[in-house]
Amino acid sequence: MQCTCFLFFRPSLTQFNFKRMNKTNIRNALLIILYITAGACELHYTSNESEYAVVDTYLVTDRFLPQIRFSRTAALFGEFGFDEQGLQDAEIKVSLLAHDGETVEITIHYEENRPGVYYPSETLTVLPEREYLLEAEHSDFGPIRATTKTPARVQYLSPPPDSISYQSSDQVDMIVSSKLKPGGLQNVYIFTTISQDPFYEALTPLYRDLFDNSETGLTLESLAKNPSGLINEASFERLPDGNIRLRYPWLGLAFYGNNLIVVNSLDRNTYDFIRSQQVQLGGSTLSPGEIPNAIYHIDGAIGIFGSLSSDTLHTYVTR
Amino acid sequence: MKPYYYLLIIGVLVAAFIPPAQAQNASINGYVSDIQNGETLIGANVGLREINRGATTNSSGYYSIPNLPPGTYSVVASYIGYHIFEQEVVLVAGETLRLNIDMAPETMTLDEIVVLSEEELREQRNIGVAQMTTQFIREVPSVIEPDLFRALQLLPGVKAASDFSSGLYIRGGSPDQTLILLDETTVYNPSHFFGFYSTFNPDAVKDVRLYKGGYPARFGGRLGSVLTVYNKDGNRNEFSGTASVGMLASRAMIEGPHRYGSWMLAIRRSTLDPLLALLRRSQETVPDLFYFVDINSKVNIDLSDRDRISLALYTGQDRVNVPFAEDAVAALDYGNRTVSMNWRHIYSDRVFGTATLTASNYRNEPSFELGGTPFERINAIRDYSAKTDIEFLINEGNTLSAGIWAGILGLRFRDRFDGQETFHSRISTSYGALYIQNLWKPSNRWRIKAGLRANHFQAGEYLRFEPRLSVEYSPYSELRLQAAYGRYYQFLTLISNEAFSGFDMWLTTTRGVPPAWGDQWVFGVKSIPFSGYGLDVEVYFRTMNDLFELDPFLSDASGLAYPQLFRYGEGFAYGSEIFFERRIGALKGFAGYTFGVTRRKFPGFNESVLEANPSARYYPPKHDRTHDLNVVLSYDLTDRWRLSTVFSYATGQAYTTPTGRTRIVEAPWADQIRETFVVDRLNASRLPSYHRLDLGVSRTGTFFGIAEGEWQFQVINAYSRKNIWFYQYDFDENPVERDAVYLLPVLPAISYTVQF
Repeated sequence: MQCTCFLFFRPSLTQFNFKRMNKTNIRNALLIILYITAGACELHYTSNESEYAVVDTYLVTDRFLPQIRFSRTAALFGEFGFDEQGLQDAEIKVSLLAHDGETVEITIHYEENRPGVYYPSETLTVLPEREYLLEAEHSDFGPIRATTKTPARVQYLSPPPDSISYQSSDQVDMIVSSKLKPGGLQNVYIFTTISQDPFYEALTPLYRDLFDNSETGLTLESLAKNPSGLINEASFERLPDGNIRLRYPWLGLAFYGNNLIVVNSLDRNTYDFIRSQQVQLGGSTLSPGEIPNAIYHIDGAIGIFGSLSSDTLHTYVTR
Repeated sequence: MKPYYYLLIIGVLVAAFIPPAQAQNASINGYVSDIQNGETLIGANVGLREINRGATTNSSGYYSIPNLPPGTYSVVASYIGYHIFEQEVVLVAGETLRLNIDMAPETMTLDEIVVLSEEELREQRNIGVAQMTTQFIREVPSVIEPDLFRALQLLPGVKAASDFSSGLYIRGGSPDQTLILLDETTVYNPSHFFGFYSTFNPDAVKDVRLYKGGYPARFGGRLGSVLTVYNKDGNRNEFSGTASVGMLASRAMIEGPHRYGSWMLAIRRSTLDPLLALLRRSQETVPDLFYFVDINSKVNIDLSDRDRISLALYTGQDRVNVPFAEDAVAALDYGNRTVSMNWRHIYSDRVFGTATLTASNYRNEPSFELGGTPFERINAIRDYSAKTDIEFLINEGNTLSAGIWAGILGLRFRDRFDGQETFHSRISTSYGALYIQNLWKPSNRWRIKAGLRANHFQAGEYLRFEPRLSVEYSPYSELRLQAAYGRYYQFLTLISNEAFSGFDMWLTTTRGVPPAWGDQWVFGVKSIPFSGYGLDVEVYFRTMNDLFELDPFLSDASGLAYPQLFRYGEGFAYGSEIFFERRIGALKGFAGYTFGVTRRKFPGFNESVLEANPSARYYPPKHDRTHDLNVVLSYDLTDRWRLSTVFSYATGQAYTTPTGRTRIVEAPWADQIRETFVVDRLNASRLPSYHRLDLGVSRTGTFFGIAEGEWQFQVINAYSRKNIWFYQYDFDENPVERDAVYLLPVLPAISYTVQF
């Protein structure tokens, strides 16, 4: 930003001889001020277009290392197709770091399966509360590096009821294991309800109405996997043993019938990426049209290299 | 602050205690009122023609001119829109003459208005101050209903966020940087219809004064500006009133005298209910309940010749209940209540004092129930305070003012989700402020006002000092050169969204959350280039430090320490304003131009994407508008017909154009595509320029011969300019499409007002 108006204005003011001022002088002075204010300032503040590498993967504890999508950003108004955006011939590896956070214990190299999609060359189960390092190289971009600290294992500690009646006084009451993160940070969760009977007739009233009146292509498939927003651990009742008790909200149930309820405990990368990315599409205290960058925690690229741990229970929802 | 500022301030304050050079032997004081209804007139000029001495009435309508040699004088009083008052008085040595002045409203005698205009232009345009008449608020074309804030937005330096927002963005500041006082009481959410209108009923308002910047030590607690609104005291002579029927709301106001003074009652309520009932027959998502109402009342009692007390009450409420889908309902209930009791006492011909007790209550209770899961929020503020102000006319060159304002502030913020409390913050704090200020007039050409304000805020134990200084030099009667400096602290922040003020929340500073502060410098030139015209120029620069705002990335406040709710940043603003006014003849009006720049910076926000150690960069907030022009004209076609128009032009608002996009799809918990933008610089693009023409026609007549009536016809956005509010993106299309969301279309409005 450059502005010269005050540099112009100061000398002009000091050059005034007030005693000799008359009406003509006043008018001239005001005209000068008008000119200065209207025309002399130029404000330069513009964006530059750049292309960025994009990483997209989440490690899940107690599962094998997942695939990694590796691509480049598209122009805002360009056609987006992953096959076109996928980055080929990249060197990607994921390493398990020792507890000192520097020494590499195991390194798994990734192989390209199709354009932009890379699979681990060998299986490796993701461990809870460990740090993993992603390193990637591609000829179009500089070196890329990111780490994630996987969350502690999360488990349901109480069996759910075999069946529950929708919107009855008995909600699904669950006890979830909880272990505070280093530094006393609380855990952050996303709950997902996965319907195993995702039929139109099985939709609960709210979701049936939303489905019937949807103008944005809401599908039964998209409703079948129904996630919550980010929920801090402190939203739930903490039990004396440190675990947490939660009542599963009816809002999470889009379908009657067989449902799986998955608790996902997120790492910092995932938490930061989700909470910042969702602001890009509105709904925050920001003014409409004010779009911030998401928080990525990746050196040399954007996207997400995150991790989570999860557990699943089953229940049956009657009308 | 530089040491010489302190020296100057101390010097002016010390000047107040220098004894007068000669003995005082007579004085004159009293109230200035409207002869028709007895309303006191704030800012009226009273002077003695023979010796060029005078005074301006204070916020109670009181004036005092002490230390007068015995003799015969012509007392002259003037006020915008009123005939000049003139009366000969004889003062004898030692006499204190009480002269209450009743002024008659203008009767369109143009010569007299010219004289008044010059007087007012000379005496009432203090630096950073704008005054607005209620007549102007009622007459200027506005969106469906006359509105105080929308009228203020026409002044240079005052901007609106959008057509849908009545929020005041003054000199680069956000709405929470303006202290809004109704009869000396803080109003926390002055809006109806989620921000579309302000809460102030123009029928009830007597005086509106906006201190855009560099405001004096008497006020504090906000970084930017102060808006003082005084409701009418009520007609002291006869019973009278007005009633108005409009498309959105209807209003009624009655006032009259009682044995010891006067009273006033004004009610306004939205009148959309029949329309909504009709729509509900065909649409399921029409609100079950949707209204706003406000009530203003005031009672004045003259206890004695020296004592007046007044009790003012305001209550306003907005309620809406929308079943927006099957098994889904949203409800909103918010409103303000204020009470103030004011006692004005004339201690002597030199000392005038006021004492005020205030209570202000704001509550905001939105709730949703979705698929059997309730969400409820309560945000409430209770603010009880007592304040007293003393004016001491030490001598003809010095007027010393001092005051105390102390109170107890309680803020409560609670969230409940599915019957369980997820966040609860309750802050109760006391606050206090003490100020002293002296207006020193060493000669007719110079006016120097210096003051110091001390603030204490118990939550966090913050003690802050605010020096204030303004200097005016008038080389000759048609020209005034002004400069002002001030430091300001703010202990509260408003959590709001410019698109919807219904969820407005106030949060406060406390330990770990320091108060925001800033300095302001203002320079002004006020002139009367031609008879009946005024031309003002002001240049300002201001800083904003330790700004604390709710972190926009905050997804869930549960379990977070209070300071973690915020992001902390800084900003600055500078600009210049030009105001050109014609106050005579059949064609009246003004043109106001503003050049303005404002910037903000918050760590972690607007940083370079791939930089190794990124640092935040300044960016223009959406309300930043480089150029802003408003032209307001009214033309008296005949005695009965009047035309009015408003033309507005402004640089397009800042918005963000993403430089790229991608899709994140691998989240294991959902089959979702996360459309993700990449941004280089925040708000680096500009919407197309904003411009709009509003037209109005009014015709006065009689209402069946028993009262005066007035029809008003207005067309907002007469040439149907499609001004853009913001862009939204349609990701269902590939390539993605950008759709514009527009501001107000062409909008006709009609209203009828009866005055009896």
